[in-house]
Amino acid sequence: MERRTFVKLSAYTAIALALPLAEGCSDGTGNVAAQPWLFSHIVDAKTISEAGQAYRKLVPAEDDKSGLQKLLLGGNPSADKKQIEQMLQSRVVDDFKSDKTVTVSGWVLSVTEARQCALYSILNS
Amino acid sequence: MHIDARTLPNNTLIEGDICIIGAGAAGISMALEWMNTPYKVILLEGGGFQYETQMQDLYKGKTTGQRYYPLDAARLHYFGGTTGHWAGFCSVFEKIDFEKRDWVPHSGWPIKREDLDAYYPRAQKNLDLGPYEWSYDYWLKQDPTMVSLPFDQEVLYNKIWQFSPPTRFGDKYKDAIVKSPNIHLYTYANATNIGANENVSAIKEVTVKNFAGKEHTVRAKIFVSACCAIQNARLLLASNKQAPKGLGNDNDLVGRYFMEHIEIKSAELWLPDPDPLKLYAIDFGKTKWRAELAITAQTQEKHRILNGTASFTPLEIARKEPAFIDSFTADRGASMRNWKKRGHKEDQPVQKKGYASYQLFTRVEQAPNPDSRVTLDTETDALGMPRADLHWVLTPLEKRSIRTIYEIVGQQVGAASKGRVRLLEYLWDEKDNSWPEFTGGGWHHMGTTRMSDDPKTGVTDANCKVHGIDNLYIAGSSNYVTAAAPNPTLTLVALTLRLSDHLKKKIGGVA
Repeated sequence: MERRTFVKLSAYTAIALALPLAEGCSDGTGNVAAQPWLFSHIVDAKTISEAGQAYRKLVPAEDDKSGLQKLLLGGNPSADKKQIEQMLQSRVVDDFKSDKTVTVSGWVLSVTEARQCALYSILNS
Repeated sequence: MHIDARTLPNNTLIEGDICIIGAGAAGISMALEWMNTPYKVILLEGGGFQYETQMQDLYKGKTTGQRYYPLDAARLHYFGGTTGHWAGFCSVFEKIDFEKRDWVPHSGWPIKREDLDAYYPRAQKNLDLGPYEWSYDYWLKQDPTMVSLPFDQEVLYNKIWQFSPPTRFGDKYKDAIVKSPNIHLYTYANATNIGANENVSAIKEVTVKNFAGKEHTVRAKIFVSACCAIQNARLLLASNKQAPKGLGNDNDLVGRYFMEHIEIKSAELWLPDPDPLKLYAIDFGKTKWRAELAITAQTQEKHRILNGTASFTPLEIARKEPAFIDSFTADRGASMRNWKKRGHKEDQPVQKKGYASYQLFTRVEQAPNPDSRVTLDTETDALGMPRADLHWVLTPLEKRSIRTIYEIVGQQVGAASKGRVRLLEYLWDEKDNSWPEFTGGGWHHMGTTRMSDDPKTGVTDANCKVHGIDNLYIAGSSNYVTAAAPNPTLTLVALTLRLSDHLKKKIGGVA
């Protein structure tokens, strides 16, 4: 895995996520949900996808786009992307603080961001 | 004073009050304690004052089990011993390291951490370390730029390491020893047998040999074997004329519980922004202290893991480094060249802005394991002594501990939104207990004559005396019951000073 910062990556990510967005989530929330914020500042899209695939294999019950979207966004009726992004970032930190972590492809991730990776990998498969 | 044992008439009888076998960190530390006392101290060194291939060959041995370094590359056989090439890393053991831990089989020392409190400061002087201060808070006050990674202090902590210059005992203490009128240093005096009295309850004499074909006898009131963990075990096992299983080995414990620190690259830390992680960086020869990331006692207990620490090397530098285990080959010249090259690479100045990715390198204690052991080989060395056979064995607990340590570190840096941790592939599968090719040790040999109050579970007692033998003591890390996370030298010197104080009381009729 070659490092690429998200500062450089964000442009690619936006493009990459635009496609699944068009076919998946008309309101655009699926786009944000599939973007693990800090993790994507650290690694490239391929690594996110690999981690997502590994999570889907590890937790086959969650290997489903709508199921993942529900897990990530369920209970949050907001369509505001910024609000969703903040909610997910906060949930990622809470996950780590409460030991809700999972190790996929070697990465120690919060369960929430692992789900985000999983959703990303589905949207980009 | 110094006597070259090759120059003595054959079959010379050497007599003194105390005989110290081995002039490395332990043996020299003990001898220094007895300078200017009314006692005649015989200090035996197998080699001379310089490295010699012929002497080093006496340390050759067989290794089986987990891949290990050539034994003759792991210890030096001349005055000063292995301090001739040590790196100087020092830290103190923690309270938990001495305790019985129900998740670590065979753990629990017969002494407590407090029993070494008075000796650590004295040991630090021998090793030219800084003040006896081991808390991060103290050192942060000395240099407020040494900023910690953010983490929950109940889970992780910054364990301080201090660096010896490193002190080469052979260079630093030669003059003092040689000029001392009551310390009689015999070089080229290889102990090949320890002879006991008829009922093997006390030691009568030690036989020493050299390549000049001379054989001498050393008699003393007290004998201290300070030859390092492998050679201490080898000497006891080979001294089997009166005790067929070897001295102190009635319960088949001598040589067992050999321990190393597993030193292995284990994970990577990835940061969104470069950070020099100055607190954790090292510039060899210049850095006087730094921290390694350590696991608190309560976290070790909660996860039922061994004690270990993580250090950080910029990934771009670490990826160019050969594994420790590949540093030493059968070609000693190439080995030394590799080692020197490694030093230069690590000596690269840290980039001011730092790095965004680091290799996390583990030093973790090995669980005491009776199957990890030193025995005698059928092959003998040039002086007729059976060579050592090291069978190094690791258990699943070590691997689970390493994996768990980095899951914890990953959780902590995640909670602080500092970055993410990635475990190396050999740690991914929880059911896989195998070890990768690059698994190495820290050249730290420990545990072959472990301490215990009970002769059925240990070779030496709490005062480092061999059970059942009145006047035979062991100095050094072979007494260790568990290995803790730090490099062993500082603690083995502290333990030796404690033994020395005990012997002073004993020989003075107090103990």
